[in-house]
Amino acid sequence: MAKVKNWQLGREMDFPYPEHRPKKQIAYVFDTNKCIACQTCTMACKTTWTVGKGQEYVFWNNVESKPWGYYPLGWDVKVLELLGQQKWDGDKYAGKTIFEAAPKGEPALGYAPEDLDYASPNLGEDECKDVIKGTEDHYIKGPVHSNWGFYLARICNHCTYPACVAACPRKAIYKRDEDGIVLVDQSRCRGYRECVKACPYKKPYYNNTTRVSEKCIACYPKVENSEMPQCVTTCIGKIRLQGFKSHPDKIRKNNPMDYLIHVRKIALPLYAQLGTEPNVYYIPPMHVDPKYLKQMFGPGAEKAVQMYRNAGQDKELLAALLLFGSTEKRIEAFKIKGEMTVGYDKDGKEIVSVPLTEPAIVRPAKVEQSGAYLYNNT
Amino acid sequence: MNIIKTLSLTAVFVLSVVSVSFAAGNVLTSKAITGAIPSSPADKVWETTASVEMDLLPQIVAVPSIGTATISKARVWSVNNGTEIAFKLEWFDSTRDEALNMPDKYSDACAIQFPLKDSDKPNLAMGEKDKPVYIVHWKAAWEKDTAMGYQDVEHAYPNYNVDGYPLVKTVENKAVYPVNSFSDEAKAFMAGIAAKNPVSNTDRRVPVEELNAEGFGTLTSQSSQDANGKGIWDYAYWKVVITRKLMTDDTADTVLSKERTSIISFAVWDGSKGNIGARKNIYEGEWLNLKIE
Ligand code: SF4
Ligand code: SF4
Repeated sequence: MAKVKNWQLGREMDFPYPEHRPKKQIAYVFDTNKCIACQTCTMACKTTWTVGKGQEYVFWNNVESKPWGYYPLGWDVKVLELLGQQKWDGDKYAGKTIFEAAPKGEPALGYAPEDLDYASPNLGEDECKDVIKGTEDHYIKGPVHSNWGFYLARICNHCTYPACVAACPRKAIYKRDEDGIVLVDQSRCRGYRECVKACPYKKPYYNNTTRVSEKCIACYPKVENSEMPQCVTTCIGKIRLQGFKSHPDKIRKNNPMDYLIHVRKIALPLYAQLGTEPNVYYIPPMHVDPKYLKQMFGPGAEKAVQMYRNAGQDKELLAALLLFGSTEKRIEAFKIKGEMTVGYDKDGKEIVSVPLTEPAIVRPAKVEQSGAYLYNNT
Repeated sequence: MNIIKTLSLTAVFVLSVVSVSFAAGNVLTSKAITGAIPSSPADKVWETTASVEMDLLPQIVAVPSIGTATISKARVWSVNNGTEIAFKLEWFDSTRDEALNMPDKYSDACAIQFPLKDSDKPNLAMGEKDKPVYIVHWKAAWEKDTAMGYQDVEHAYPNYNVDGYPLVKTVENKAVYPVNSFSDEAKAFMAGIAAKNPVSNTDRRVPVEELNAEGFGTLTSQSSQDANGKGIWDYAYWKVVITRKLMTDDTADTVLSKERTSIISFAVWDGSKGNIGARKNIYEGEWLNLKIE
């Protein structure tokens, strides 16, 4: 095991390979507050990449209802349970990662999902509180809590320290130096499924026809062409933005990724404590128990929620957030110009501009001429 | 990584010391026979051939490993007719695991390993750099593929329904055809097949595969496949015969010849225990001597 720096944990950690950061690191920001679970992203991904035989159950992108929805069933509670209770000491993680907690002879602490875990995508959909009573009849037991829920859109995190890479005994999985995208070599994989077992996010999938493992490829043909992936550009809720993020020591403030992740720290990694340094960052949901958010998004979750609540008064933050869903092209830099937020491509060419505030027109509920009341008048 | 390397070097060192004192029981004799070599584990010739019982240990040198052996004993026989050689392996396994077409299913399997070069005594864990090994691997899943046709989604989930697959014509609203009937264009949607990955071979003719390795994680399927085999599951025993020519034209195959003592080793996997790849049982952690009569 080598010692590597994991900035999300605020400390060094063990990893089977020495630290090597790619020239560029693909990153995403997902705003959970805007997701409506329409699954357009899921279907966009499915129809683009996983429509072949053997991939019937495969969802490189899935959107699950939290707290009770999962794909595969119970993936996160299972990993958290294996890991046991762990602690954050301020911004520093004082617990064990999946690499540090690996049993002897295992590359990481993990488990292999069962076939039935994949049988009902998002079982528990929209169950917030009452359906789960912790009784024998239900598919999962848990505490009853006050009424809250949100949608968690998930893809491969193209981790800096990928558990899938760490676990593959054949070195058939690699992280590209040019953009940090993690790929499974389809000609080398022998279907051992060590990646499926080790990835805490359960994002590699076994193909039942080809008998090898596959995973999200970050739509690399689009990314190489300065476009954002399918799940990002088709998102109905405009919750997603993809770019490249810098190391926290070398941030560029006008890069929307760096700005949201490192400058404002409003976009947070999912279960950073697992230790893979995931690169999909989430703006946490506003109406959720802070304890749950801390477990899921780390110690910065509450602050991020407060910042988000205040986004309307925070012009620069708003400027970054309004870029979401505004273009198919990747925005490498942004700037406020008057009352507009403007996005630029890698050559500094303007590709999009979005008004910071839309004009609001208030229509009276009652039409005077006819005396009729208008409903759903937006 | 360094630790593993040191460990394996130590293992090699220990092995070479131990090998000097191989007891009589540690020699597998390939009995000379006349006529065709047996292609079936049920062949009568095995009844009159001496066997060696092997204690199996969990593979623990490399990660991932298994903590305890899932198959603790296996028996091995060998006969040859001067041109071809056959090995029979037999082990107790109460579960018949022959599916690789579901995400949580693994296949029972066995493998025989030889040093590629006669003079070498490579690291038992898949050989080492410049000391390659030659492996013949049998899998229960491949046995089923060859006997019943490629085992696919429709075999794992007989009642499954699908709207369609790209570029595959639906007839009577069904798109459930053997993948071998797909056009090359349609097969392009199955990456492992399109990338010509040997494990994605949907048209397997034999249940065994010849491979080479130069250390852990380097296992590579051979371009020329010269071995054959046959496995049967008989009252909770797997009985597997693996056959090949003593000498082939393929330089990646170990040359076996009469009046020569070679070394050989074995591995066995139990699918229902999650055994796959390095999660396997190996013969006592050392090489066995093979004497070809
Ligand atoms: S999310 Fe899982 S599959 Fe994706 S890079 Fe990280 S460890 Fe690998
Ligand atoms: S398309 Fe967007 S809004 Fe719809 S489910 Fe996916 S992430 Fe959520």
